[in-house]
Amino acid sequence: MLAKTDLKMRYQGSWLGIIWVFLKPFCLFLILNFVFSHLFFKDTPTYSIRLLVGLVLWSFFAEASMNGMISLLAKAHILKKIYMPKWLIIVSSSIHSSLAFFFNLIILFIFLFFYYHIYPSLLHILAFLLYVSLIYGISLVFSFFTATLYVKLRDLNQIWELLLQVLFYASPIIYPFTAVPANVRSLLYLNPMTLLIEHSRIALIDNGIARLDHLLIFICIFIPCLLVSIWFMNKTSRKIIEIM
Amino acid sequence: MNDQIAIGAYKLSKTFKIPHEHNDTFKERLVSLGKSMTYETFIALDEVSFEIAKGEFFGIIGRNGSGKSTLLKILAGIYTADKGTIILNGSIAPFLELGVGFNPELSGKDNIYLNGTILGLSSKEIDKKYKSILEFSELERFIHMKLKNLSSGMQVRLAFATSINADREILLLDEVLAVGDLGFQKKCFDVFHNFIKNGKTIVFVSHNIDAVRKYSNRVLYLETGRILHLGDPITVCNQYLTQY
Repeated sequence: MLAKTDLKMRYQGSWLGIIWVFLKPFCLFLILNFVFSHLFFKDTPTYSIRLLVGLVLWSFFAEASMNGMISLLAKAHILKKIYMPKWLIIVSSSIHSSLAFFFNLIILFIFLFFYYHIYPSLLHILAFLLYVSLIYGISLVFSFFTATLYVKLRDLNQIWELLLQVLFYASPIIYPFTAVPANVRSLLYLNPMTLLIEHSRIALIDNGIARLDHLLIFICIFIPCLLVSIWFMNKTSRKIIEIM
Repeated sequence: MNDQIAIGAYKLSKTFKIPHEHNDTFKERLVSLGKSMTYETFIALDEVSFEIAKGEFFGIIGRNGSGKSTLLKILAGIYTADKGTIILNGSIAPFLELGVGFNPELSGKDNIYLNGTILGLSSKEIDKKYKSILEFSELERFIHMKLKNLSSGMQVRLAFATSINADREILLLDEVLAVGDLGFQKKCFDVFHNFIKNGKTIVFVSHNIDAVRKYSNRVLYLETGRILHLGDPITVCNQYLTQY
């Protein structure tokens, strides 16, 4: 319900309305696609769709983490007047990003089916959904850590915006992972988005299941992180209202 | 513990630390690294103890800054007390102000649903109560107008009508009737009367001493975070008035 109002508010009075939600990543896609598929990756026939998968997943992560971080402070006027569980606010902020992502996904699949005639099997789609939920998961972990911190450090959003830009180029979005020199690859894996984007591409476009051991390690790191972030949020949010 | 008690507060203390300089950003933190932070401590509540019986209309009076709102916020769960315990018997309405989350850009109807959701009602419950809310607020003609085009009195009427439908056993009211017209105020007190008859409890903070004296069963008089008097409304209110 909160998310619904958010949505209503954000796009009210603009006649393009909800179209804005997916216009943003697609403009970026058109530009990047134009530049890179003509200049550098002429011999990769699936470059465009690979770029699109990367961009859609990336903008989901970027939006969800940013919205999650600012969510508590943005709802300060409500939190000061009424008791509400803090996690509810943080999670509801991500619903908006998920909705935008859902629309983007539809377009992605239309491209995949009707332009590239690639039909991933059910297993591969399920694998892809697992990767997507892990992306959602890491943006939640990030939000749980930063939502209370942001109340104390109000320039965190600018720092994060900057870091997002760095991470954008440190993730295999505009370039394929294989284009990276072998000695840098393990470094790239420190970025959680690398693995998830790369595995998603393998599932959707190459119809394969990427290395399960990597995924397993990823999940083994992810779960403790999630637990710690929830603990951290509970601990720090107790007195957060007073300093809003 | 007595079953007849709705709220028990025992030795509640709350101290606010107000820093002399606000280091709200990461940058400022870095700059002032090494400097010790200086605080002003403000004791908002100092070992306040009282019990409120079920079905009681409990008035709280006191000057500005005497700790009334802090006390209510602790009861509502918005702030946490530094020391002391609270016992709550029955569901508490976790808000002190009416119309929490009201959005001026949305219609009256949307705001009823929004506010109702924040107060913990499901949309089905609101559907059921919508008619009685509308009748009580007497705003049938204006309900599809944007909230910002309604007068402040009308907004309060709408908020009040929604809030009393939240169905809680303990209500906290912080200076809520200041803007309603006389007819509406009378109507509100009729509602309160009904609440009390049904065994619900009302905690009422107001500067309207006449109303407090007329309707309360007992009155608590706070002064700089301590209880100055607690007891019969006529005596306590007169004591408060003799100060001026």
